Amino acid sequence: MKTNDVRRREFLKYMAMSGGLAFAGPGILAPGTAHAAGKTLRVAVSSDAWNLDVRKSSDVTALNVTKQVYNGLMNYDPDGNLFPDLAKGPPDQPDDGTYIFHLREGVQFQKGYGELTAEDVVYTFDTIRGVIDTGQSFFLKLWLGSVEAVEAVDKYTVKFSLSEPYGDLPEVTALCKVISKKAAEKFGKDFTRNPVGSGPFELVEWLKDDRIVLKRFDKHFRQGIPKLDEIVIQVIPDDTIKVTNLITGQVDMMKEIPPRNLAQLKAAPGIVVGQRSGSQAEQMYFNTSAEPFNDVNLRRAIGYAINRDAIANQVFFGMAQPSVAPMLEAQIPLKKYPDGMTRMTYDPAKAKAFLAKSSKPDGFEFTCLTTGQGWFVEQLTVIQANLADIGVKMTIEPLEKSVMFARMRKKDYSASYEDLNAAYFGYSPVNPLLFYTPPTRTLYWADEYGQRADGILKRFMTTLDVNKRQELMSEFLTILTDQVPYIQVVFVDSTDAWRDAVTNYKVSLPNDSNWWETDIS
Amino acid sequence: MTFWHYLAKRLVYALPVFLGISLVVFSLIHLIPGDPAIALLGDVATDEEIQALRQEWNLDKPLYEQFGIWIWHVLQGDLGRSLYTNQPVSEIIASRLPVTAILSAISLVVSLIIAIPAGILSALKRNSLTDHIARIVALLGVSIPNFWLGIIFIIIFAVYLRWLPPGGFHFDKGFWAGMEGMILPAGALGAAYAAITMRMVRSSMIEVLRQEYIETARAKGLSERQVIRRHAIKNAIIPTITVIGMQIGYLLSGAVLTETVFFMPGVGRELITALAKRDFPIIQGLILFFAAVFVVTSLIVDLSYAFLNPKIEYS
Repeated sequence: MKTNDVRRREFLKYMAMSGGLAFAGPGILAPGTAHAAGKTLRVAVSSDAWNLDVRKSSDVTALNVTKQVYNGLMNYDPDGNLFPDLAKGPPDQPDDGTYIFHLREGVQFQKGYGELTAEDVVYTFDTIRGVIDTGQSFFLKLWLGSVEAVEAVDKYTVKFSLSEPYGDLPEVTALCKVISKKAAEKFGKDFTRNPVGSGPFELVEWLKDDRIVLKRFDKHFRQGIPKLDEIVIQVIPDDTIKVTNLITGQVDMMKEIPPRNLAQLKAAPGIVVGQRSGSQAEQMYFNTSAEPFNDVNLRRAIGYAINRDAIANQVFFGMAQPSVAPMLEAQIPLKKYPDGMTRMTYDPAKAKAFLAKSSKPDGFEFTCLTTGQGWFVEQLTVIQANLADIGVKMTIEPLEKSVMFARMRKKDYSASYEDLNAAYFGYSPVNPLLFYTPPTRTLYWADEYGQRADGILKRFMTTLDVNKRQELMSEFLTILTDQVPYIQVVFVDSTDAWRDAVTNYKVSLPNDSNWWETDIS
Repeated sequence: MTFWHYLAKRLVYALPVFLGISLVVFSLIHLIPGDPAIALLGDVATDEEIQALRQEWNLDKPLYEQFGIWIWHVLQGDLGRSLYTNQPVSEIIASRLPVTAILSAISLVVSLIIAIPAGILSALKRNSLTDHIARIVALLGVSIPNFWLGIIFIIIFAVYLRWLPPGGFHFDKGFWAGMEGMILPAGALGAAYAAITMRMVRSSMIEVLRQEYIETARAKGLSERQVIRRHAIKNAIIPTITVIGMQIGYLLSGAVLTETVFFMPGVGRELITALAKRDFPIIQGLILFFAAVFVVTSLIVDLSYAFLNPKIEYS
């Protein structure tokens, strides 16, 4: 037998063995997890979390996970009401520039990192504010501009000293949840993959783009919480597959129902659909620093030309409500829109009248930027038809989000469409910082009215009296809806669907799911 | 030239290939519009905050400096860290590679199971109805994009018939659950390569069947089955094996779309996600990894050819 024959046989033998490994391999190589026996809730979401350091989390999935893993001094319930979480009660306010929080005693961090004390609270806020340099930047710092110092008065008392009154500080503590100082110092930048909080669930596994597994934290300070043993958050980007998985029972819950599947899910046996009015505001934004939309009459013309009911019904299949302001009435201090506010509704005659008064009475063309994700292009298609009726031609230009934001920052656009003011703050009184429009922001309101509006918002931030806050918010909304630097279109409802075996779950905002008391049979 | 000399020469030649690929990849990625700092911070952040994040990520440095830092680390085996999660890129690849490897391997086996018998049959029944049908199916297989085929499979087998899961990676639930989940993605990915392989097997078989030794074998009185099995197939498979080897690299690129359609947590889907987030270290590291796979597989194929065909020498 020739040597080459031997080599050839050996080679073919190894090839055959490789083929066998292709079948055996999965059993050897595949990552697996020993899941906790007991009550497991499987939730389908559209995208993976970007990071789980609560000081940096900004995407919907990360915010939903951090809601389970961490606690804040204050927190939001599913109805958007603020309640004391790590704090024993609402903060003391000896004067307008001071807040004092008294912490619960004996609260434990997950994974054996000891008791949560004032030192951890101070560390959390000081890292966000940049007082402690971690080599990282945290965008939550934006909400702490007037905080001069955070001190541990004693083991369970934290004092915030402010440079000026700041009525929304308790709200902000619901965002700035408390992390373990020991764990954060140990892990550094890797804390994002090793989060340690005091919440009812702790992270046990994060397989990127596949799943996040949370396990009950037995030493959580609230008695009887959580009810579940485990939550598996499954990343399923495709809407059809998410719906199929829910109907076939492969998942127990899905977040954010696609509008076209709403009727199907409502009719599916064994499926519960939860729907409530949401604060995700779909809006069209104008570059008010350049032509054509430095002309307020053109902006008004566009605003009155948009058929909001058509968008709510045709694009969202009834899962949205026409909006007249950038926040819900429930978010205004006294829960009432001001009488002087302009309520812009579909009125082609008025739209044409404003167009006739404008700098382009014979019509004009413009390009509207948007992101290719979500329902923005579909909404703009309806708006495109509406505008054609009044002699305005709009071209839609879908872009990636970061590209669109970069162009808006450079003022390289005429109009754009998105949901920039989506609330981080539940249904509670809105934080006006979301509506600031200085030149350094993505959205810039260029004229004197913009400066006036920013001034009103600044005064609102430092006003504590609720009636005065209502007055200021009313003034802001009156100017905003008259000058329309951006147009309100619809509020998208918050919707989730779950199997009827899931109990004690209430729909809240898309980024604020609360599974603390959720149970499953 | 001996085997070892040849191997050493090929490895040395691979270095400038990698350097060139690194430079091209780095340049192209940084030409893509979009800022990862803005992608993370969104619309609320001010210019100062965005600039602070860019500084943290070294994105404020000139491109040549960023490239120099990166390539210096790559030469030391450090592919960098994710901008978002700070996880080492090598760790990300290692954790996700099994998914892609399993998908590619099963797809390859599926494609061979379809292609080899179909190619042999097609060659034996040349110009018959069977041959024509097989060639049309092969043409369709080559023409249809695997991601489209995957979507069709999901609609039919998962959504309407509910026979199979629509996607995901289920080996954590057990071996058979995992294999069940691989049927649709492996079928979609394997179909195109089955078509290519089938055409190769067919033409190779036709060529072999024309050889004189085949006539000699028949003349010796061997049955047709014996002639095909002992002489024709063995020799027809040799060129096919080299094609199969090259396909391993192409399977990886096909896996990018297949993993996305079937939401499998492999390296392909990681690349898509990283592109959307502009996570530059991951994008650079993954593309370099794909390039390495191509280079290594083509080297293995070239080396193996001499084993299989004694007429081939290393030079």
